[in-house]
Amino acid sequence: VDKEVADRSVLLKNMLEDVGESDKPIPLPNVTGKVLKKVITYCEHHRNDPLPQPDDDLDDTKRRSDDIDDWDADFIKVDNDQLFELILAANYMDIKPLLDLGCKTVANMIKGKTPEQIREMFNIENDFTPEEEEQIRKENEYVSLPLDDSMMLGGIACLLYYSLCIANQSGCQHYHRWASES
Amino acid sequence: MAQQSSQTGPSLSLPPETILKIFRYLSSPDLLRIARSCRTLRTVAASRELWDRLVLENTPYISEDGLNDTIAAAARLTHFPNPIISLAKYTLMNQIRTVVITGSEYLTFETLVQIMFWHSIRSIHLRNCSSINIKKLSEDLFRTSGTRWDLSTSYNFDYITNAIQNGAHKGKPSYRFRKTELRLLDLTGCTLEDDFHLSALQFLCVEESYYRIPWDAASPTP
Repeated sequence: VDKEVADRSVLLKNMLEDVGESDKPIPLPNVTGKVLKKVITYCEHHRNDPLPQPDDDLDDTKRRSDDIDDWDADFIKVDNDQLFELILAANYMDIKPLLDLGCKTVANMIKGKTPEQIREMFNIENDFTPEEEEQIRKENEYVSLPLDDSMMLGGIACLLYYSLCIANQSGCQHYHRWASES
Repeated sequence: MAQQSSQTGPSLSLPPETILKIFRYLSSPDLLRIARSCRTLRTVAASRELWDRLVLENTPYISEDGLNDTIAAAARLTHFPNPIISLAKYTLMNQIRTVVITGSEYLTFETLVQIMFWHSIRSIHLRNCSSINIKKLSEDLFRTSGTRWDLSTSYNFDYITNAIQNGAHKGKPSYRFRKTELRLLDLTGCTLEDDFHLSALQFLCVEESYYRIPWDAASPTP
């Protein structure tokens, strides 16, 4: 692999800088050959892209998942297992654009799906107890109050709650003790 | 790892930071839905760093109630042990820095004005919200910010801004004027009638803030 291609991966770049120019192979214990081949294909296509800046995550406008170009979209059309292996490899080898691409793809798969569909798609088991599920279902059909009312009610409820706590802890006991003594 | 993924599903074999990275691309309703799929994903979806923003994309029918329901469900998710939902909502609202609402037709000025005065709010993106009229919005906002002055003509506006800048409102409780904390107000595709109401909006926000408004496109774009 060319150095230019390998430089896409921050892990490899740092390793190559440490090792210097040599023909020794670099071990990548966490990446399988098949996935590595995909990763190399990606890096070769993107060899001339500018290297990503470290902190462009903070900008809200860049958090969009619908800006995948055609080549990338075609590249990432793989089955779920392979997609997750690619993400893991990108994460391990520190290839930020590939990691972003993988994450965006998964996010696009999740969008607009019901919890059941998500479970089916990613082969997840529903591990909530029936009571928990009932609780979660309830909270999603919560009857709403206008924003400002709820703020005011929050304040009142909080005051009431704490005064009740205090009354329970101290006041009532004292009163009972006082009442029984006299 | 292969064995593990066959038992628990492939998505759970990803480290939580990566799942968090995926979730950053999701809108708030999507996050609320995925929080109902299983425990692991629920824990990640409840992370505080995901809820510094409220994203409602392509929601033409979102109304004040719908917005409230979303906030309430999010409050329950993120502040689970808190027994008082209103308090949890209040805490959540005050940690939100960014609000993104696109394509809404039913959002009211009252709701928006309230959002603009949330404590940590820094940017609001309202793209293609046909119900938002900048004239009415700035008038409403001006009223809510504590002045009694009428914003109906530009002559009044000059007078008001001068009065506020010269400190005429100080000492009089009825004129206690309050600016929003907004740094960015993105009103792309909202209804714009004149520049003067835009400057009124600008006046209400922090000085170094900026706006993304297409000056030539006064009518909402489809």
